[in-house]
Amino acid sequence: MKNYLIQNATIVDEQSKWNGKKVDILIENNFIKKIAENIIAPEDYQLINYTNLHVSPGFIDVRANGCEPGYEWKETLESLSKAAEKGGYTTVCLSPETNPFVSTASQIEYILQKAKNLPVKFMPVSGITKDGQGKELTEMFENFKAGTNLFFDGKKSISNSKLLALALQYANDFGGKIFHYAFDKNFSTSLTINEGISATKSGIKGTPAISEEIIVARDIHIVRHLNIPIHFAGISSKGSIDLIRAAKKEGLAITCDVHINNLFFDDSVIQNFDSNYKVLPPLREESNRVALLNAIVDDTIDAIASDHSPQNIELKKVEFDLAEYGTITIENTFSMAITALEKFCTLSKIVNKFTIGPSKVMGNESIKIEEGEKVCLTLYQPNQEIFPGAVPYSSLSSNTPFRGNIKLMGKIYQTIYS
Amino acid sequence: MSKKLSVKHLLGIKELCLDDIELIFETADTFKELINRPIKKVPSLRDITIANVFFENSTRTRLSFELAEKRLSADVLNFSASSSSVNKGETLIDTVNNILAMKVDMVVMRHPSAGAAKFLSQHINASVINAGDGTHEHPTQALLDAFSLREKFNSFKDLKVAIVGDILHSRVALSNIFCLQKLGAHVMVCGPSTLIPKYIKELNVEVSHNLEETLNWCDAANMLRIQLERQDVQYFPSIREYSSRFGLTQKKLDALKKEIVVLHPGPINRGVEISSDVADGKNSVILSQVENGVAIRMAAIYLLATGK
Repeated sequence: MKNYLIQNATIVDEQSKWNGKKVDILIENNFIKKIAENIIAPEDYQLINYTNLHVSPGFIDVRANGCEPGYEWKETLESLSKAAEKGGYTTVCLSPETNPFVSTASQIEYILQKAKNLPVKFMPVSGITKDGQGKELTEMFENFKAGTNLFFDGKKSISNSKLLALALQYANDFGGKIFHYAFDKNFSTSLTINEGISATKSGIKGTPAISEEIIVARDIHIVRHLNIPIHFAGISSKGSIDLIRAAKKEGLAITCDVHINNLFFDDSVIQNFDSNYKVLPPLREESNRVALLNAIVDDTIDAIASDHSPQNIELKKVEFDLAEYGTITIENTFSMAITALEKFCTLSKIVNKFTIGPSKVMGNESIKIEEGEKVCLTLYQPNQEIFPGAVPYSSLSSNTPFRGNIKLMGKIYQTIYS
Repeated sequence: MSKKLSVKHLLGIKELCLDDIELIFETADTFKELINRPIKKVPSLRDITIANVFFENSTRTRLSFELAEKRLSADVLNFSASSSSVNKGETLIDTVNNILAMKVDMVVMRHPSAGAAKFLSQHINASVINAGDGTHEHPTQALLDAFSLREKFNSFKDLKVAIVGDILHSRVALSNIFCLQKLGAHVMVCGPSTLIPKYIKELNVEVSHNLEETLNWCDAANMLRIQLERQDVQYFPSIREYSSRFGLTQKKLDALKKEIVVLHPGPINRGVEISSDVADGKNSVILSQVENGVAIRMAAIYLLATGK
């Protein structure tokens, strides 16, 4: 790795004493050697000097689909690493929803092996239950030993309350973290679109937000009963936010994340039947979206996830109800967040949801921008306009409504990660 | 006729303006008169080929479109597939583009997916007429329903129309609501709560769960069929109980202190949502609706084919 001198950079890191300061950062042998104003560049150091440069700890994504193994035509870990780098990420947690579903230690090892030389740190995530079927627990401790402390059944909610309680207890013994997608599928049909006026106008039956809230409420009771933490993946409704806010206030060990699409879009966009707005959890009414934005501000939400979900065009360019869910987001997540949140909170709060928040959710210490720390940085310009999709994406898929026609704020310059 | 529709496709009533609806009615007046003459055919669309592509079972709508096309001297191609295109391994766009490659000018499509007609219109170079897309819209049905009401009432202003039955699973209900409201009528939907979308009030319709109350309110009642094939769970306990609560009988009509017009988009389930004596009685315009369907479809096809 080269040695660098980053010049005139505003540090955005709530945990750093340099937060908000405009300084130079000297990087030597993978470590931050020095932070000060006007450092004289030693010879052979690469100078980094961008317009209105901001620097934060490397971004962490708590959820993206790597699609490998099993769906390599949609994405590979290599293509995802390039897309993630473009999005400013240095660490990405991989959803277990590959083919086969990640259930065993050998699968964890396979992913780590595949990912070891890539420029992004990939964190495999194990299923809670075998094949995400919600019936039998995976060998969680074996999977933990193989290299992950994160357990998630993907977008399959565990309907059996006792099984979820057992998983929480068992994983907690060795510091395993349970991520849970809250969804009572009995409220849905084969097509999951938010129940609201947009669905009604579109002739779609709609799935009410209580399909999520009822499981959030149940899980909070389980957490209170066991006194063991849980993380809610992809919260989408005001009702869930109200429940989680109250539970946090009560002192329960609950964290949650939101998918960027739910922060950025409301459900009115589905009326055009564009399958690039078909995501899980579904986009909800503006009032829910505003509740999510406010939940970032008051820290009810801990992390913003890309939920990057590549799909080949054949699975998207079909009738709306037959199309697969999901969009590619990882290259634009931070810019979407800045654009959605700029009137709601400070930049350092947004950055928190890409750095400190995700670290907490994963049970890790967060990386700080301080002298002596290992280098793991994201360099960006928060005020620059971009039009994503105007140039080709690095993802192998192109399922996104951003086709060069939507303006976002915030441009990622690069990451520096050892 | 020099006036044109504001749209290139007939995807839903949602996309039409009042002028479009009135133009279709005026055109349909002419065609209705025509189809009652001894020679029922005009050479208007002699150079036009129309494909009727039906991905869902249909008898009356398909026949009505086919007849409308033939009365206009268009060449007609019929394609039906009971299963969806994806199950056959071919995409909807490919299926239709293959038909279009045989130099077809217009596609009339029925499809089980909401939004399918709109989706198709965005990806092919031909006019699309939506003959029903899932539980979304069925614009020609709404137009013929309104056209039939227009023959019975002088004006839509302050006309009160009730739509009774399985609103949740009905494409006819949504198109009727949009159409009647654009014409200036008031709409009430009536049925058990389980079959009425929770947010439908936001479309400015009245909601009732009592048939007698609804009949007293309305000038006309459109009785919808229970769409058992679309119901994923049990939305009401039994047909017997449904029928006693929401079935329209002569006794219920006789209890009113006024006459109302009774419509039904068909096919009717005699003894369920409507009793035989009502279906065949003096209040019913069910067979006029069928006749008007041909005139309305002729008008829609003619205006789209000649309005380019």
